[in-house]
Amino acid sequence: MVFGVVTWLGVYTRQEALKTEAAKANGEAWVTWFKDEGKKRFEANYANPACAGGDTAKAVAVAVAVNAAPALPAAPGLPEAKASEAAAPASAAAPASAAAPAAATSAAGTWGGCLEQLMLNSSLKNQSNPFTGKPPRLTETCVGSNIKLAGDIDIDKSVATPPGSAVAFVKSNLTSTDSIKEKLQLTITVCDKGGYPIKISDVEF
Amino acid sequence: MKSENSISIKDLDVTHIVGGETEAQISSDLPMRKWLHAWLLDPHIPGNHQKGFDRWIGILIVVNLFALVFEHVPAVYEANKQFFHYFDIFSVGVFTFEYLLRLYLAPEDEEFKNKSNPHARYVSSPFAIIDFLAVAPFYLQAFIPIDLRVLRFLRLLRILKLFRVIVPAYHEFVLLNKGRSFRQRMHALMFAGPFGGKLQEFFNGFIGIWVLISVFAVVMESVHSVSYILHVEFVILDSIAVAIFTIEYCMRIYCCVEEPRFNHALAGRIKQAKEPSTMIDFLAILPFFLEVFLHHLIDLRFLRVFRLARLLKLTRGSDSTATLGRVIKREWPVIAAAGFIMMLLVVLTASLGYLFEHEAQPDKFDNIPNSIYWAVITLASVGYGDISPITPAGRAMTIVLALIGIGIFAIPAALLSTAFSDELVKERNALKVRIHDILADGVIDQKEMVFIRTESKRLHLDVDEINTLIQQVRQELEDKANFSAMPIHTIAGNPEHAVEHFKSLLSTIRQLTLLTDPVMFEKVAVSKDRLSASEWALWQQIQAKS
Repeated sequence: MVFGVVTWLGVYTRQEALKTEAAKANGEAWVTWFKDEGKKRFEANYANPACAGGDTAKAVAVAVAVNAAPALPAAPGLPEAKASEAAAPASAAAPASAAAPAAATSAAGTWGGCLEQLMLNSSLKNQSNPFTGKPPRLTETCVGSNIKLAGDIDIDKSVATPPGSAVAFVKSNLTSTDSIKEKLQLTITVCDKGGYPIKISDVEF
Repeated sequence: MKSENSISIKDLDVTHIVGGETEAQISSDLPMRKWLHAWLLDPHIPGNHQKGFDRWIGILIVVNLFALVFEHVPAVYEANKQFFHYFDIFSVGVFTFEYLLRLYLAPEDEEFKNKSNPHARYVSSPFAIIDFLAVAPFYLQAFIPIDLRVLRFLRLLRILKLFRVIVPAYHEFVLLNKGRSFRQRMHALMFAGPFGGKLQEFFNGFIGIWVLISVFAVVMESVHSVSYILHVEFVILDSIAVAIFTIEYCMRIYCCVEEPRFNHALAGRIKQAKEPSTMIDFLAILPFFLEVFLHHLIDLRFLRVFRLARLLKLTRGSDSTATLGRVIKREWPVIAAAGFIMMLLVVLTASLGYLFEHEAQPDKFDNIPNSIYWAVITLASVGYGDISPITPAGRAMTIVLALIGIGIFAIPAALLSTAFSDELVKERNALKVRIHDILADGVIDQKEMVFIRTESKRLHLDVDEINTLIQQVRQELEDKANFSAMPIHTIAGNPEHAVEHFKSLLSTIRQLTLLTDPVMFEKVAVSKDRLSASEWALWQQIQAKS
């Protein structure tokens, strides 16, 4: 019986560990996307205008209406979670994109516009949160012990502080209204099964 | 009554008893093959290199196993591909050398030397087949393209080489436990005793290795760059370690009733579970189970650090911890007094520091607890320097404080050190008394040999020290061997003593016959009818001989 129990526990913990690995893989996919697109988005004929940067950034009319949001439930990173869910006990974990829905995200040259576009066209739309089976949400931050955040993705931007400041960079959550016309230094983090952050990588976008 | 395995005090070989290093008695005139076999493979020659040879081969097998595990981790393997390749070549080289050596020396091996074709017999023996399978895939890939995964699987066969050590130990264990119940066998494996044999040592070693592996894994898990890559591997490793420790814990609780002090089905097991070492075993596995079953209710991640308590499992086999515990218990009143003085000094100086410095540095000496931190750091001679006095009074007090601190903090350390050394001396004296008792009857039986071996290991006594102790006891015994002072029944109880006493008495009689005037002796004896007929006959006989 003891052999049976310890074997089952071993298999169970391994499965849980594999879920964390899958969550990390989701984060790594975001890193890869940022890395790849970050190299191209300042070029003149960049294929994804909503995410374009620099002077070549075009005003993109992202015609995603508020009522279009339900059409994206499978879109990873995009809020399946509605306001009601965002206001749920896991409010700290309320998806960043839940605050971002359509109304604010249609602005050209912002992260919101880019996010909507990439959720429609990139391979990231097919991601699945291994802990919930649903698409991973973008969260403001990973909070240890908040297991409702398990598998969520946190994207932070680092902004340089004026010369002479005590710290060289300040990190804050990448919000939908943030401009992406300039190069961004991003940190991708994934929440593990306990809600604790697992830093995936720093990347330039 | 002593058993037939008893050894007379005269034939006492302390090196054999204590298990120390002996120099192998191997003649250099032997033919090459015989000589080589005697040095490297003969298990019956004490002091040769057989044990060392087996040990190093065993270590190489275990390292091979780890290499095989790490080869499956791309992040580790890809970065060190070359190293893994060279290590594989080295391992195969060593294993091939071992195989060829055993093949060459097969005619000298007890198992094969009386058979018709020892080399062929060796090649077809199970151990030789295992040895062959351990190296064959490496050579085979030079001729036939083998899939890397198949090759790695075949290399797993190297682990089978461990059977060369385990199988004889298992046979010995089975022999020692013939006719004993399953629980008794389990007890023999878990608790040190005469039925455990080598297998019990291997079992302890196995648990010890897993303790070290799991603690190493816990430490490495805290390094983000490592744990990021090896997360699943660490989880698997921890699961295996917990599985092993859980099985060990259950086995110990199940079979502890075979120990005389836990000899009750329920109360005995509860008593065993309450033992400090068993509590440590329990704490070593508890965080894992709590996290698995309760992680969705409460955050138990902080418990992970308690996995480091597994290191304490290693203290099971060590009596040094128990000695330290005894020392602390014995010296507790003095340690407590020193602690009290220390506390008094800390509180007083912290209060004074607050008084002198608060106004000058309200940000640093803002309250007495902060001053206590400063006082302790100063008293303990650590001196981080983050808080330091700037007023003349504060600085003057710091000078006094620093000087007193050196002495005050040294007291408990000196106390413990002296008491620990005293305890060792006391225990060595106790061993001396025990050896005295053991040697009093002139023989040492198996049980007494085991006792001397265990105690000498525990007290870190080498062969020379035990020899000195035994010599002292021998001398004392010889001094005491003044048989005239001993009651005759005590002398008669020991044949060795009886013979010596008889010889001593005869010698006294002979001296008497030489020194006395025989004519006068006989005259008195006969005239006054002082001797019986038999005594007279004996007198005549002795005198004739003398």
